[in-house]
Amino acid sequence: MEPSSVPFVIKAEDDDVMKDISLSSDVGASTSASVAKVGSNENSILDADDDDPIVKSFPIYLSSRLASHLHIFQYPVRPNTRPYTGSQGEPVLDLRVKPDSGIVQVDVPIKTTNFYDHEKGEKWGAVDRQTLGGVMTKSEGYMIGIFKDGELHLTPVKGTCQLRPSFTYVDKDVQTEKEIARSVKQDPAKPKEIRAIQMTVKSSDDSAPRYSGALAARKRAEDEEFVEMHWYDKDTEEAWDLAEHLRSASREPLIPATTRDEYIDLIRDKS
Amino acid sequence: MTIEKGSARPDGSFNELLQPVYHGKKLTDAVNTAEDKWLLLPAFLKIKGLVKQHLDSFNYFVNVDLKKIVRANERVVSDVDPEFYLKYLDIRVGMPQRKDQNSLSTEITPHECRLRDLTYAAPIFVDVEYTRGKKIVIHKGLEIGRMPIMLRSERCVLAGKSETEMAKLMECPLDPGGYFIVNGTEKVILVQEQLSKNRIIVEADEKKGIFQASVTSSTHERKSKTYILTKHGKIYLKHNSITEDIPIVLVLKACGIQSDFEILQLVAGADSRYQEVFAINLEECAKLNVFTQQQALEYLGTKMKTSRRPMSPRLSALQEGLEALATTVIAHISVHNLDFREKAIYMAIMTRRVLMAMVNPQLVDDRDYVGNKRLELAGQLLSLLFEDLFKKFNNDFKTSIDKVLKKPNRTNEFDALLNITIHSNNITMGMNRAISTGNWSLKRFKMERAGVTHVLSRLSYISALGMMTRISSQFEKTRKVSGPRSLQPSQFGMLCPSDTPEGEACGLVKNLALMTHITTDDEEEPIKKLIYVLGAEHISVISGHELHAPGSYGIFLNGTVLGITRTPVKFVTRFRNLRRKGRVSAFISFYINHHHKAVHIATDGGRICRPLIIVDKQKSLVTAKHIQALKEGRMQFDDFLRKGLVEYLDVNEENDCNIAIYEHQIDSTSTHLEIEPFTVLGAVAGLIPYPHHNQSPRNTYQCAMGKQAIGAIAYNQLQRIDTLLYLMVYPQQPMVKTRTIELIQYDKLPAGQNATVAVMSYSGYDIEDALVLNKSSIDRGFGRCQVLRKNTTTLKRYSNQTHDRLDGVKRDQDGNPIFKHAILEQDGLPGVGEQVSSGMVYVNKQVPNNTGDNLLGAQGGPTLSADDYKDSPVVYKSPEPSYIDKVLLTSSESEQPLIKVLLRQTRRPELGDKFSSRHGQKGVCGVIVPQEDMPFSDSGVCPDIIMNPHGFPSRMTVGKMIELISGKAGVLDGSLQYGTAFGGSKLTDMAKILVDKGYSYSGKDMLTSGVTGECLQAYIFFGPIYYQKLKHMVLDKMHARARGPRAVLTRQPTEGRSRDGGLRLGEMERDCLIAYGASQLLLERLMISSDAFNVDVCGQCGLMGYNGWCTTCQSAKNVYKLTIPYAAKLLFQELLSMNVAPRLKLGDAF
Repeated sequence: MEPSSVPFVIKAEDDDVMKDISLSSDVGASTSASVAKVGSNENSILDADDDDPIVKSFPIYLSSRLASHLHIFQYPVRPNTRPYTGSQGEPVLDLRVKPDSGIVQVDVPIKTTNFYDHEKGEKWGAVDRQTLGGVMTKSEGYMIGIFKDGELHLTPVKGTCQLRPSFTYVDKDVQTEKEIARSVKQDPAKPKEIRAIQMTVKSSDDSAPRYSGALAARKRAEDEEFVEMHWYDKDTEEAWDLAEHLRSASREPLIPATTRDEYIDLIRDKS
Repeated sequence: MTIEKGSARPDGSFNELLQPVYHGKKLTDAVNTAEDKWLLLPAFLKIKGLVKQHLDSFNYFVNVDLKKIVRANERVVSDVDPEFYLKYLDIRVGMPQRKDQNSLSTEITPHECRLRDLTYAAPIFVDVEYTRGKKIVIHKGLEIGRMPIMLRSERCVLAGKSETEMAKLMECPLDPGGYFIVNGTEKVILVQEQLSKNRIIVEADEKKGIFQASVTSSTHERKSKTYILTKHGKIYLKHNSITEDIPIVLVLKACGIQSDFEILQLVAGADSRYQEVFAINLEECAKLNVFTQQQALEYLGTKMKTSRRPMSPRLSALQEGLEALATTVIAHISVHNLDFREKAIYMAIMTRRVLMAMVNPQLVDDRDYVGNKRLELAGQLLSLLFEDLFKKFNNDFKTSIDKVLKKPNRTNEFDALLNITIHSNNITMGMNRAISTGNWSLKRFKMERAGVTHVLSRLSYISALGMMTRISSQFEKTRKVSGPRSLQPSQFGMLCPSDTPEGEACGLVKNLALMTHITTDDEEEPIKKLIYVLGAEHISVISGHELHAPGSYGIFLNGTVLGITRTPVKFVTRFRNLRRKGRVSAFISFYINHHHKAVHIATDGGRICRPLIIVDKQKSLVTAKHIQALKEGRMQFDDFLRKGLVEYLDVNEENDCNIAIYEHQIDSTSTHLEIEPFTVLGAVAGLIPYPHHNQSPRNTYQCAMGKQAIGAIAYNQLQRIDTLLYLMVYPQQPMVKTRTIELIQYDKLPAGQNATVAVMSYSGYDIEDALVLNKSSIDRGFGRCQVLRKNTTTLKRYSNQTHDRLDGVKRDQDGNPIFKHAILEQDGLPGVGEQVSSGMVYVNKQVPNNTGDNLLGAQGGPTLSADDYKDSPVVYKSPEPSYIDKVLLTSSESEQPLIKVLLRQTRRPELGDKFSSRHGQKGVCGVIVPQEDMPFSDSGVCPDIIMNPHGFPSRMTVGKMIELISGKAGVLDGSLQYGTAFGGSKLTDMAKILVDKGYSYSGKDMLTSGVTGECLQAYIFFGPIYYQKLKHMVLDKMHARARGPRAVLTRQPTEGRSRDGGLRLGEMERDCLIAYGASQLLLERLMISSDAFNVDVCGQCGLMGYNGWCTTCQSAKNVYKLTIPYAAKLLFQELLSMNVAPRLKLGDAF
């Protein structure tokens, strides 16, 4: 994802996890169905579903127009009846991304009418919005499909991300408290003593401590700047326009290039 | 008719199977599946052999694992010169080679290694790419060390050789292989049993109310154990590197799951029972004021046991926590890019398992369940060792090049390769030392394991074979827990139920059953892909809600959750179909655990599995047609596998199946059919005829004794020079065989003879299982055996150019050799065939007097005269004479002359020698009776052995009786009968033969007494039983002493037969004598015959003096002579030395 050229992120059809997942499992089913048609004359490896016959077949199209930009956002702690959309009165306010380390943050409004502790809210300075954060992971073979006019159009998903509440305001609060505590401690009018400092020369490769795995990743994430993104709500024109791109431009339906057996051999041998 | 020969095993041992008539079945005969499906077993063993697990494991190590290790450690860089690098491109192991390159042929045979005390090893070659100056150089075929080679593995010269070729190499075609030869000794790396790695095990201590889920994470770098356990109803995470137990909610928060709602969802799902039990943990974390990931990581960081390496930077608490969570806790799950989700889910699942156990204490795992065990074989152990050595090798190499590169101005261009070969000895020596001592020390795991290897027991063919199938447990022998020792139902078909030792190792040492396979590691990646292709939902898009939704099953690959499915049965069926079609490895197992709602897929190595016939639609897939093809050699076992007629199941998958034992038992629920029931037994238990008629401990006893039986060892037994070798002179194959006997070819290397046994009382010398032996039988060669003993002498070289030498023969005045040198020849070595008796010299070695200092005029070697040497001969000490069987003069690896002399004794059975039938019925020879005095039947048959009938009622070895009847029928019929377990020749058929031949159906005969000539008053149970002569012989045990050596310190008689020791009057015997009041006997036994000592005691001071003089009182007055035990005198003096003065008070006794 290059933020300069792509100032948007498309979400899946709906916001909730359940829907996303059912969507993706539909995808899985349809791919195997298309394979089944070809492999029917062979001695099938994957058992022929006697109790689950093929009722109807549809052509499948592959759209790649959005392939490198498509991401699924999931909100694991949000009930699927209350998506973050404008029509629900809770539109996504802000979106920030660190493209290299894959950190995503979304700001959503908090309804302050019910179940809201104003006192705490003021203390933490998080009055009307909540930040949801997560790390992007590479998608493993998921696709998003739209079904239109008896045709299935599939677009591979680049990444998935689960966004869950992050309480950075608590950390900030703790941080400020600590700083206050420190300044109180130091305050008793003790000007810093002047001390002689031993200067040492370190060779260049010593100074940059080599961090292993997770530490390096954290360092990278901390060093990277957020890129502000623009969020188009589900019901906006722009979103619908973009959704059109999910339809394949070419009119050539996908034809399996391999038989079922070859496909399985391919999986086995590739890795 | 032509028989296809191409498919025959090289040694031709299965040719019999391919002959037109095999066990009375012609190729054209109608084949009954139910009867003949056992033919799959020889087909299985034909491709597998009995030690296939060892060979597979070693081959996998050499071909796959070695390359993986090198790839993981492929780069060596210098700290000094950033330009320099060395990269390993490839590694391979060559064929075994002689160490000295100047020899005529570099090829070496295992037998030569055995004889010359060499190591059977092959060079390890690497291809490297490195920088020399500015150039990048590629060097191929660099030797970095020598790897001991497992016999009969792919790298062994014996691989794929025919029987004739084997004979040329002096190798026995029946020898199983699977062991190493290190410094001339045959070493076996026993199979080690361990709890499986990277799997969750849940245990409960209901008394203490503790529930814990633990997982042993094992990666190439580290091994660590993580626990999730309850304490006062709350759940904590425990790990060795964390100082205190961390609340689980806090850990999950540290993984980035910050909201309590999500944690509850992930751990408990929608189930209110679990939610209730878990809720308290959320409070626990809140009490600690930890709400965010950052806080949690900081908290975790402060609790770490930090052991900073000196050079690394100091980390903040947060970094410390992050590092710990990413790398040390549950180490086998790696974290990419701050995405802790996978690890969080893993811990959530562990926590859920704890919750499940808390709610229902029955939902715990069984440590002793075979499915939770993994077997570690030679290959895995060697791979651990090699990786350690290779890392050390690279380290040493790095330091040595750093040393050179540090120097600023070098005259010539530096070639790193010149430095690398110096360290190659470390790898060679490291491997050799580990295998020869059995001490496995792995630096990177800080692990030290002793007793991994054992010397291959060559007592008999069976003992060697038994050793190759042996499995030793890591469990401590001293602990008195019965669980790990008792028979596990899941052992069925995998581990032999009979073959385990008695005593302390009982149940801890096990043996493989006949038809088992131990898996090697399989690639995970393709399986991972297939899992998703077959419709699993990826774990990264799943929340707790879906994970624990009703009807959704987690998919676990080697214990790690990868996704979920809602159609587990279909999912597994599809995978199984793929396996049956050969699309995935045959050794991958799939099974559903409904309690945990999990589909488990295992590709890891060390699982025990066995082949079974697949049943489809209530029909066995293997039909008469296939068996016919097998018999004609058109199909092999692998074809059955490939065609999906037979498949391997491991213990876990077996639990998911319904296996019919016989074809008629197949019903609508059956999924598989047993190939042959007798395969539940192992190779050693397979020798027992009719074991299913015996009381089970008897079979266990026979398993122990079968390994002690003297017999033929190998076809090359007379070429071998072993430390101790027992050989039977006329071994016979048993009259009553079993299928196992044929399969392991015990009939070709038998250890016993068919004795005609009369079960009757005779002479009173047959009580307590003693046997009466027929003297004429012994004269004819019954029970005769040879004992071959080796003596090794080396002629050492010393630093001052001198060396040991052999001297000639000393002669008396008449020019005849003196008695001691009677058998020596000119070269100081004995003549082959000479009798050597006690006191004779058989290697006349001399050692130079001066071996330390440099001698004057040492140029070109010193010239020493005869006076400069002292005799150091090898003297024969045993009272019983031996014969010189072989003399070998060769050189060892260090090029020192090596002399091996083989001494032979031939022994006929005597009073007290131990014999045993194949039913755990051992007995010693009680009396040897002349044939004239033995009873005889009306046809004139005289028994070889008379056995007391009292041996039967309490032992309940009915199998032995049936063996007698079958054997007798076989003798009369001229056929060999079968006593195969759960089958064999039927008793009614045998009785029929007996009746047809004019004998009683019961096996009893009318006998006439040889002593009185009268007819015996009862019918005697009379017939052949296979008897083994055990290695315990009177000659080796017999011991008595009147006078003899005494210990220096105490002056008491020495202990033990080997030191010609006294016979101890122990404490209990002493108690008896005291109780009886036999004071004079006590005095004699404990002092006079032991360490009586005369001392002079001063009556004045009570201390000991000498020569009638008291040094303390400076007088001879009041000094008395006294006899006390020397040990008492010693005690007094020792006390004196510690400033304690024991004083004797003397008084008149009478």
